[in-house]
Amino acid sequence: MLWHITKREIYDHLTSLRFVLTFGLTILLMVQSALLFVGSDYPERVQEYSKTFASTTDAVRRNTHSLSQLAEKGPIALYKRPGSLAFCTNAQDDALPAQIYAGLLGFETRSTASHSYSWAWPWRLAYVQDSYQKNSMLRPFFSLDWAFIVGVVMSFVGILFSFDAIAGERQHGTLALVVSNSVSRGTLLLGKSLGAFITISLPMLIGMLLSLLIAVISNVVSFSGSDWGRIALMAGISLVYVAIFIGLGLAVSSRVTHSATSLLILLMVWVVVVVLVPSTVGSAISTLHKIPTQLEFQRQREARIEQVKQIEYVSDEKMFQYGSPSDSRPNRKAIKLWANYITRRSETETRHDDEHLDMQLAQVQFARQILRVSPTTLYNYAMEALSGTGFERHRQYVRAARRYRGQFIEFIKETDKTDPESFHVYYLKEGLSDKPVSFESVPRFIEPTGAGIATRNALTDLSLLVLFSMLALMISYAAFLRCSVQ
Amino acid sequence: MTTVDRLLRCCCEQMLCGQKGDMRVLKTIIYREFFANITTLRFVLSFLICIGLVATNTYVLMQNYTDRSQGHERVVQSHLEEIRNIETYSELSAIHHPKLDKKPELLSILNKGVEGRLGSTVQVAHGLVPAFATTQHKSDNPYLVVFPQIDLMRVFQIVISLLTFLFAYNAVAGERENGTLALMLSNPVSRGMVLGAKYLGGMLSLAVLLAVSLLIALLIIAVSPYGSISASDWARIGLFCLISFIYVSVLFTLGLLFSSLTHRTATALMFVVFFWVVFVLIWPSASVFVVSKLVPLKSDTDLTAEGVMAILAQERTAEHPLIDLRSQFANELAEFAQKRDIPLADHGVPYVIVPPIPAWFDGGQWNRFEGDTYIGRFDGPPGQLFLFHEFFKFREELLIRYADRLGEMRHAYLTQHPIRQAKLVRNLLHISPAGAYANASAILAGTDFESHLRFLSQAKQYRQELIQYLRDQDAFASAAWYNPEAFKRVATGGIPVFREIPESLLSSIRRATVDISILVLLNLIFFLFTYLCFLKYDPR
Repeated sequence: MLWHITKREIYDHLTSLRFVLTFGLTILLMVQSALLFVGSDYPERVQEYSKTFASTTDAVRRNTHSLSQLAEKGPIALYKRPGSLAFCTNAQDDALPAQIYAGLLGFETRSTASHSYSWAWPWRLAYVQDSYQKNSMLRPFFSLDWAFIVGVVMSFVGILFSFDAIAGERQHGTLALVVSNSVSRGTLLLGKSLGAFITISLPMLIGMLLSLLIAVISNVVSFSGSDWGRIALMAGISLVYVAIFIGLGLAVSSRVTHSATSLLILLMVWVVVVVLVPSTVGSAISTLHKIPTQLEFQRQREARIEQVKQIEYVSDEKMFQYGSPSDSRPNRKAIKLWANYITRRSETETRHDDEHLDMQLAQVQFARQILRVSPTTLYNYAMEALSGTGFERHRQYVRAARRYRGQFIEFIKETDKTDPESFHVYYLKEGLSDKPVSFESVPRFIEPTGAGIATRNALTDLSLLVLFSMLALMISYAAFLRCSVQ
Repeated sequence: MTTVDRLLRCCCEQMLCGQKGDMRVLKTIIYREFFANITTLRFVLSFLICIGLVATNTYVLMQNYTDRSQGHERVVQSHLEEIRNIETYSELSAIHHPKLDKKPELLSILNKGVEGRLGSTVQVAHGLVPAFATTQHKSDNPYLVVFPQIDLMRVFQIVISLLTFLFAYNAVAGERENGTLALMLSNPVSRGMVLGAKYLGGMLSLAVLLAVSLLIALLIIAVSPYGSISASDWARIGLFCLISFIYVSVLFTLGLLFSSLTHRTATALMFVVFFWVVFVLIWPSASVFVVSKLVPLKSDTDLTAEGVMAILAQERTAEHPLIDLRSQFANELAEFAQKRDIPLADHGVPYVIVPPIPAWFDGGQWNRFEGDTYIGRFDGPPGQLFLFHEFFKFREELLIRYADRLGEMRHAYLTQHPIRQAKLVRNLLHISPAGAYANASAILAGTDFESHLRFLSQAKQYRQELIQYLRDQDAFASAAWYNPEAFKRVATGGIPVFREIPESLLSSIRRATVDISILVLLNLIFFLFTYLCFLKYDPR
């Protein structure tokens, strides 16, 4: 019986004008999204990434001729690999920074009448703020990707196919006829929702396949096995997401007498949930979570550096009391004295920059958590997590970079211990070994990406989405059970 | 709905019994349409949505504007400070050259345009013709870009357009379904009259919607500390209202057209939504795609001085149009020195990297591509001081000429690549009413790319003023060019200060004429078609 009702619904939908239009529209949008992606600067970004990555690796390799050089110049820069599935959801990825600078930070010289010392400030993570964006005179308002097409357009289509499912039949008088049969209301509702669901998934899945086809044929991206798994999961999420709106449509449709009223109410819900919450409310809420201004941070930073100077760098005379570290046979105490100052100051700046970035990220995160009330945001977050783009990915990238910083320093210290001639003082160029290091043993920066991690990241949002769709179906069931058929 | 039904019946009765002139009937239909519209649930809900959207968006945009204005004030102060504290005239040439800041537009709340995306500070010197606005004022949290901000134009363009369709789609087909259309047309009133009345009644209710949401936006702007609205801004806001109204009217007539083309409201709704998706969502991004394929963008790094200096630092000589320019400059200088028998200092590096300078100079120098700063003193035979100064005068005048040539190269790049792209996109956007609306409102808000170019050309004019000032002071040929002691003796108050001249309202309107006339034209065309369709419409 259920199948019978579903079949009838599907036939009804398939022959309707709205299906034809939806079909055309969805295919058009999906194809355009693929074309836009193929024509975007994504290939250049990938090229740029591999080019800079290779040149940086080369530079690091050149520095391995001495451990102290490597310790001073560090890993130079940590690049964020462009997400291979940026194609499915871009999530403002091109507006976020694409690298963290991790190289030398300038030189300084101090001198008294008898001594002088110039040193390089050792590498630390410097969070730069430039991104991939090129000719910013023409950026479309929407990035037309899967997340947008499904999140905005397909949710609307979901409403379009369900707003008159019950109210419409009631208006035509067919509802009483159907209910008078020996079919339970639950079965009827399930049949109706399945019918709408299958009808919508048809153009959506075909569109997705087409856009994938274009992307693969154009040779802009090559998907690995795990990528395909993630793409399949994204298609699954999209279906769950659309189901929420179908459930919502059925619920409203069974409580309202006119289908026009049903459409209106649903449209209003749609505007709030899909348009208003994910964009505007985000910026509005983030103003509630105040952070110090750029200027205040700057002042705080200067104050902290001043403090370190007062404790560690008392005066030029004091600093040079054991001679300069650059003397031909430096005094161990001099090295210790200078190393203390440089390390302490560098650590202070690192801590300050980390805190600053953490506060900025926390502000965004705060708003993002609250936005989870809207299924559209949940859907976007899940898509971002799966495609490895967007804000959450950026946070993980920052975290990975910080972990790597620890590893790298640990590596320098460990390697230094094996050289008996070294002073074993971190950090000062003169305090470390001058022996060459094998490039292979230097730790590499590896971002934890992969299908497993992506799925784990998406899990919370995914389960919330499933919960939402269950809830929507349950509400529609409850609403339909008690509705009048006349 | 009962009240509406009653009203409807009442109106029809009135029309049936009264043959008291067309005007009365017309008024009645308008009145009826208006009331039938504003008493519906859809109006109430649309009203709430509009107010909610406009209020939250204006609040967020105003916060953003306040932040940017504060940042702007801070930056302008520090840039003025920098110039006030210079020690020699030549610092204006490299280390502390004037930096001009574009003031954030208050009306960016109406339409953000490209304002947030292009740079807001541009560097100027007698040896540096401004071509690209480079740096952006730093925002307190750059990661907030993950929440896209919607300006009022987008609210109207996307959400209100959808609501407009909802008002229009059942205006004709809906009445046919209810059976009231036949009744109404059985009256001695022309079909054109009925259609006109329907249009006016519907637009009147939409106007209420628009006016109230704009009023709320203005209120939020006016109560915030940075929201002082000038007289010209008021006029612009007024025009923005007008354009928004015309845009809404285009969509309304289009909805009417679909409604009188079809016999069922559901079909009309489908067509309307389809149209909306194509012209509001697809067309704008499609045009960007088309243009970026037609006019591929070349990288601009070839024309930035930083890039060239980096190449020079690594390779010392390289094939590059800018390096050619620089070596020509250095050669001309060396020739001049040779002709006048001025001994040149030997820095041990090619002249391309550090241009030649008389050996009589004792002090520090900072070499940039756009000019060099010297702080030091004359350390040569006293009789040669005149020649020393003449060398600098020749050098800086030569630099101005080379800067002009470089400026032309950069300008050519800009007009051939990014500007050409932007212009093409703008022209393609004309096709969609949503695009024309976006263009026109950006022009009015002063946030379109041409307003940005205006700022750049004003920066170029400022450079001429600066050059004039330096010539008037005879700065190039004086000791104050390089010697802080001498500089202290000359007055420095007169260094010209940059003032941004806002575009006059008239010229804004002139630029927006094309877009506005497209909108008006679409209105007329759609209405005409609707009229033709409605004349032949079967009311049964």
